[in-house]
Amino acid sequence: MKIVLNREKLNSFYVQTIKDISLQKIMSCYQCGKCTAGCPVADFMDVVPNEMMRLVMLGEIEKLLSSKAIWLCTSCFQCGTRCPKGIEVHRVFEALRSIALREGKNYTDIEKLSEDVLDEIPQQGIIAGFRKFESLE
Amino acid sequence: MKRIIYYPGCTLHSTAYEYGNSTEAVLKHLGIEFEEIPDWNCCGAASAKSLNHRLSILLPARNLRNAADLAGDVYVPCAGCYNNLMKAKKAMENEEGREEIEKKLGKFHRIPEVYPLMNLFIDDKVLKKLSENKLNTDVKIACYYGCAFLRPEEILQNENPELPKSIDTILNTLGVHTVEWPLKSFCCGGDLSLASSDIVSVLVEKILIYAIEAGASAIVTACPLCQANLEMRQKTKMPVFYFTEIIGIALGIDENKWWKKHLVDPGNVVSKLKGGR
Repeated sequence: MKIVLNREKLNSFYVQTIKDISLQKIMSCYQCGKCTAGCPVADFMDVVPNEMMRLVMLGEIEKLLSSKAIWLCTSCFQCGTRCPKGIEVHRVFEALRSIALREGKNYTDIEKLSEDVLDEIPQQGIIAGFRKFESLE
Repeated sequence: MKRIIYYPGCTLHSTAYEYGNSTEAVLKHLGIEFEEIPDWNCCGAASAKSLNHRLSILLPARNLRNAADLAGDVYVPCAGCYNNLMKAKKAMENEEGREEIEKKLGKFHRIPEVYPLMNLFIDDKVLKKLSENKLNTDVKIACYYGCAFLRPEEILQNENPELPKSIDTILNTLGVHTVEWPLKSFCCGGDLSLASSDIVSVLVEKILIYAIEAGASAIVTACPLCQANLEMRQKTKMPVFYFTEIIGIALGIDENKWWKKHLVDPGNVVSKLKGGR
């Protein structure tokens, strides 16, 4: 994969929003890979944690917003605990999830779910669906 | 002996009834007085933080405010509740954060200290009492701490997140041998159990394989979500206990109703442990 670096992309609205939400010094990452080594669900991810950090540093955010990986993160905080540069990688995942939700990229209209499906979903699952209605404040 | 404020959280009165009941029985037996936080509410669990950040701070903060009216420190048996209460406590550390919370909830007389339930038992006096009730057994146990009691470290500052030892200390004091194994602080999958149970099954099986490999015949934990995931998503049939249940066995106050709540029949391990009394 060839990525052409440009400053516009590095300072895009997405990158700034990720920094604002996560409060992390993203540019400190030096790609040691400890986050991925410790991640319990890295095996199942299409973009593993250190790749995600690299893509944010390159401003390639679209790829991340449509990834499965951001929804698989269990928020176990292992990546943040082990990062030698003190980056809480899980907060970057959380920022990406927030942006994806605000953009309506992962949206469940609960009112449109059939009664059969609603019977099957546990209550927590329904509540988790509600977060997709959070306001854009 | 000691007096504490107790925050059971929703789970200890419902799905983890055996954890709640064994905790209360053990506290009573050891002469530790406890009082539930008056009119406590849900800590917000995983749902509140998905909905609204402010709500996820205010819900646990309200419990802290109600606890402030009682004397003593707050002890929390559930990992998720402990994590959320500590987050609220952290949010109140700076003046601005405290002001915002007090605007909604009213003045706090004090901000009480918050500890995980395990910390109550690694107190010297309590350990001494436990050591008088040794189990003579060759059952080996793998202690499993999960995530929420340990991380994020800068908020919890409770024990070493890479080398936790509180549950090991308690069981060792009771004469139970605990094994050294690599997945003590590995994630069980947590809430992913609802959305991607197939992934959680893989994680749980990994945890069990390493526990068995280390020679353990049961796992002991303190987190209700870990306990549920570990027992629900496994094929191996290895029982998963709460540490208070093991203390209960050692003190001779265990009850059959605890074991009935388990999804994996713990009968074999329970009778081996009881045999050592």
